[in-house]
Amino acid sequence: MSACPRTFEVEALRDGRLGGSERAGFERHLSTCSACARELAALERLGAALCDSHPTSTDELEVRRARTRLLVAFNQSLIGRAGEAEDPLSAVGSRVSRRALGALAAGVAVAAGALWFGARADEKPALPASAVTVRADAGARWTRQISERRELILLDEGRLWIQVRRTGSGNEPPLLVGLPDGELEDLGTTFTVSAESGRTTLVAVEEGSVLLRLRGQAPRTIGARGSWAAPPEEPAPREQPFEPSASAPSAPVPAVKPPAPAVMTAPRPVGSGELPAPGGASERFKAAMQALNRGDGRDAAARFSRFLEQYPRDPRAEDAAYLRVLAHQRSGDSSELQRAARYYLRAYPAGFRRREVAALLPSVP
Amino acid sequence: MIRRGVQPQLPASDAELMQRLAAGDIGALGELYDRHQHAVRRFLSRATADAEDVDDLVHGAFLTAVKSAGRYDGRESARPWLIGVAVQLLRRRRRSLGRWLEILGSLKSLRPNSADPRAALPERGELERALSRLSEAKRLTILLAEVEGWSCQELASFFEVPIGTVWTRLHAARRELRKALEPGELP
Repeated sequence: MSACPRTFEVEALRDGRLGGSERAGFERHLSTCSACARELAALERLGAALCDSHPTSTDELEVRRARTRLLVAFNQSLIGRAGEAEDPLSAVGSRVSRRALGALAAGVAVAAGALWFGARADEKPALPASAVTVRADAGARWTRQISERRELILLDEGRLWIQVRRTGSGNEPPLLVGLPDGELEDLGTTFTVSAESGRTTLVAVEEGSVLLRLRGQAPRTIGARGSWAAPPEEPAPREQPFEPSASAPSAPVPAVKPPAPAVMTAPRPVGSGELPAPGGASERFKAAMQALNRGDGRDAAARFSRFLEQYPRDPRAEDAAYLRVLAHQRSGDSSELQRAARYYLRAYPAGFRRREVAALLPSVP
Repeated sequence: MIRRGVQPQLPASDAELMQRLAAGDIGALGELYDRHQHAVRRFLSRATADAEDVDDLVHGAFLTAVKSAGRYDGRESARPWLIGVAVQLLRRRRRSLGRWLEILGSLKSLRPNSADPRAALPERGELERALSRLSEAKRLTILLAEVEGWSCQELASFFEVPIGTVWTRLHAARRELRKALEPGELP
């Protein structure tokens, strides 16, 4: 490799330290000097590698939970109750103490939990009377917080029927419904909203209008007798859950297609019998877990396979793929274990359990 | 297909969201989070390499954005601003960690398990390992320059150091990373 006394100028060029005639002169030199061209290529490779480093494979469900925590903390800061929300730097710093002092961490967690779950219990009567009536389906998971500035309903799963009656006095706080994947702002109305498996599935408005904001989509206003429904989850490609083991390539799994755009449904009356029954994916996952817990590995594996076929984009899909491996391990079926492990490693090359799965299958690269 | 009562709207700009956030609009915070949490999270995962830290710092960065939204400078994308907030939180957290370790180290009956929380990191690639071995100043400087595209002048202003210090940090960081990744190829 031939050296060039001007190689050090490559970095200066990249960092913008060369100006005017210096820059022009060195760029001319660069076009004829192979050593400097190699140096520039090496620096560009390093920059590109840094950009590609640390691909985040964050669990979508965890992101949604973090988002909900953020909105709750923000809301509490408006209420002026939660000190942790008032000083985010202190909140970050408190992690240090929790990590260092395990016992103390438990106390802090209990205190934080009391703050979190006590939000509704210790509402003071001084707050404005709510103009909102909420009816929840059995099994719906949701919380409600009222402050002087707004009323916040956080829907995690299930169906809520919500009616807002404004007196026109202007004293009622506005209503915001936090959804697993967005928000719904009430504009004075009666409506029903459903969420399932970490996503909003239906909004149907009887009176008035609402503003629906879902992640990655333009906000939309839904008026009286209008409705919005999420598209059905797409079935898995035929070869995705289990490909023939002999032809399993080592190439990375193709990028996941973006979700299909939401579709507008025809207006329909909001009757309890006409809304989609909640809990399909959740129930199937739960049933598979129960099979695994009672030691029926074969049944659990079959259930996780069906879950992966039917809900390949569910936030629990990676969990299901991993648990299927464990289920086959428990049933003692080594050939199926190998196929399930290969599937996991291909589908989730940066998955949280890749090391455990790879350890189960040392021959898989 | 019937689209009765549905009027799609153009998404708000980051500057508009920051204005709404300053006025206490929780919906604006949700939209900002959806747009930028991934970028903030990925930057922090490079910079701190501790998953628990990353979660806390992302949370803290957006809450800080709430408090400081009224001072937003109106730029088109809020990403550099949020990344800057996250870096400041990270640096402050490191200083706090150092003080805690000193305090804990002075207690006879209670010793920290590790002087550096990054010791508990999961297995990583060569680049990630080399990056984690850089000093924090060098690591943040090269990440902001190479990944986020900050200029040396912006870095000098942000870190409140002479621009020559930025150049030195960049050079040293590149040299250390290349030494780890391409041994023998350095001139």
